[in-house]
Amino acid sequence: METTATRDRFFDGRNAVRRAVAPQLIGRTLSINDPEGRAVARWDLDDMTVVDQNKANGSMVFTIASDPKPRLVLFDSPQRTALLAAAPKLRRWRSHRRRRGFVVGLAWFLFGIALAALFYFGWRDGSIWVANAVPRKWERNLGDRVRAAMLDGLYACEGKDGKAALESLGRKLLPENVADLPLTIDVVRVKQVNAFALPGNHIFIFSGLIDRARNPDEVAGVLAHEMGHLELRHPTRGMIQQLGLSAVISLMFGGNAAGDVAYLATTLSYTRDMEREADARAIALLQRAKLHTDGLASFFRALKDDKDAGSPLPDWLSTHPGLQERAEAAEQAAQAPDSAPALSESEWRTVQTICTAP
Amino acid sequence: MQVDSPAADESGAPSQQLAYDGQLGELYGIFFVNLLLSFVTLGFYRFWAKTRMRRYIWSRTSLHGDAFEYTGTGAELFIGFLIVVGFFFVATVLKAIIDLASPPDSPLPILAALLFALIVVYLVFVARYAAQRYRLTRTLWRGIRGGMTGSAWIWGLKAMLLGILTAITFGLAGPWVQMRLLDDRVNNSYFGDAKASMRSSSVPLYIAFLIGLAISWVGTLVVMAIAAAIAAGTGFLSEFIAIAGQDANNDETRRQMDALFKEHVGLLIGLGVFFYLSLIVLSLVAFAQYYVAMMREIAAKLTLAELRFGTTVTIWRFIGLMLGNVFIFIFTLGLGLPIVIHRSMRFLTDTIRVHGEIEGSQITHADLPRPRYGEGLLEAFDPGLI
Repeated sequence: METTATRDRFFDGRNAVRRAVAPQLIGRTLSINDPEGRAVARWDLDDMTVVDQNKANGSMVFTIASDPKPRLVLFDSPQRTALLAAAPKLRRWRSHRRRRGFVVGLAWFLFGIALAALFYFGWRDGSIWVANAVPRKWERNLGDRVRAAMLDGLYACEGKDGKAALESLGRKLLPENVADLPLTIDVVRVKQVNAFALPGNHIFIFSGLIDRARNPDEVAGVLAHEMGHLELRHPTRGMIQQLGLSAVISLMFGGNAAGDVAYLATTLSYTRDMEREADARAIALLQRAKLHTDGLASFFRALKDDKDAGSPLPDWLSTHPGLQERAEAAEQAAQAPDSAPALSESEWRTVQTICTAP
Repeated sequence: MQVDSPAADESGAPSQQLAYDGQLGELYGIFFVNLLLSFVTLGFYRFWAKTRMRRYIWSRTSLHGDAFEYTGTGAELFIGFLIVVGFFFVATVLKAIIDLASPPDSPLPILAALLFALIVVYLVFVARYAAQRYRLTRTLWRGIRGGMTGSAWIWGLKAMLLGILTAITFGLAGPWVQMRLLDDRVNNSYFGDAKASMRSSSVPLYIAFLIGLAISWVGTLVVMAIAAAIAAGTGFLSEFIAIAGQDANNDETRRQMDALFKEHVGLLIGLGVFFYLSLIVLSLVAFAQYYVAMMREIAAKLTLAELRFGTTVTIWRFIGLMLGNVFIFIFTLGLGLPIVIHRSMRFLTDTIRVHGEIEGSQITHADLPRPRYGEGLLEAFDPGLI
């Protein structure tokens, strides 16, 4: 046993000297003695912890919890066996550490769940709050830039009379809380049935939508719907939500997944709730302007018939199921007896030919 | 096992100075548990996984019969990472605000994007230095930990400026820049109160560097010639040249070109894989002698207290290690990582020679600053494997 005893070593944590030592158990204290039998250190058994164990050579490394700088390396020996018998928690260090690891892991897990819940439930209110805090001037800056970029790549329809008719309709519908900025309505030559609003009071209508509409009230319904988005500041809110989402993704996978703001503005999609809110606002705006309110519902019905007939829905609708439900909700609104069509017959013709007329 | 018999080092004979006695089975035990837990926690466990792996590797590596100890924790790495994510979040919001608030045609958003990219590059350098400090302060040997002085921010700035110098000299300043930056890091490193020191010269590296450049250029030409010969053999090349010789703005030409590419899609993908694999192998082989020259220079010039160093590395051994590692890692789809670690540790401890003995009583604990969080930056940009 002489040879194993000399393999045991002690480092005091003050300098890099290896001392050959022999441990000696005295009651609840471990006396760490040098070869001459003098105590180099005395450790309280209850203060001792295991740092590690080397399975290849069987050595165990100990330290003390109150000042974890020194290290004691003990190989298998009767003295060590006695030590482990006197302090069973040292023998069970592995399961002890595993249990602690499990508890810490669980704590982090619960923290993660709480964070996820906070995101999930705070998402909507948080984004509304932030969107309302964004200055209108910023919205206009961004919107102007995105509009210019879009008009650069698309064919804009310039029929003078048609534009004038749409703009006057737009002015009637424009909600008060966003009337601080000028409104633009651009018709672009794209076959898809689509329309969308950009931050800063810009609305784009695809010519395919005007072609598909059977009367001006349907166009007015869609226009009012986009105004509803503007009034509720949905474009800004959607961008903030996507920015927030990219931050969460970068948290999970590392790196920077944040997108370009201007690009985000062009890839927005809204939640069903947002669409429903915009539908409700659209009806209110039409009523306020004393226009027919049945255009939105009849347009939804027409699109639903297209879908049932097998033709694919435009992207903006196919991502949001519930066309039937939205049509029914829009029909709930009673149409006032004194309401008028959105455009006169002659005005409607100028809008229909907006892409061909000078 | 030498580790168990200090008597051998005390006899004064050249002891087994640096040794690694880790076992592949144990490495795999840690690796698979890490993999599983990382998977079920959507990757969040990776900080603890890394820590467990390091703890094992450190504990099985010994110098003069005493094992190293890694004292870092997963939480430190995780918090460091959270700080970086916080920084990115703030930077992203700031960039969004600049995007939103600047009028159309303003150059501000582009400037902000450029500045952001520049800051990220700078932070990668800062991260390297900070990560070395973290690892040194978390490494214990004979009860004494390492440390590092100097500012990561200043070193990062220097590294970035020297990086620009490397770029404008078309890489020719590379060896000199590399050794200057390495010297800085070494000369700020400590074990206890013993300072490491190194005054390396890049002169011995230049011949190796130029040979490396020559081999890689000639080799690239050869690889391209082989690829062209394969393409010619299948008749793709002659058709390609015939079509390319026609009027380029012609719709018909474009359609013929598309058809040609579609027809030979398998060949093109095969050639691409061949090309990139050959370039990896080529750059490894070409620059192996450069890295070996660098290791020899470091071994010759590095001192730590009474220790001097040497290396028995040879070019072929180095190429064997690196090529083996690359192929093991690729062909096991990453599951060979423990083998790669095992081979690398064996290689390091086999080739590094340590001369002299540490006079332990001369080296005392030094209170060099110990960062509270670790490696967050490096984790974000360069998630190393261990």
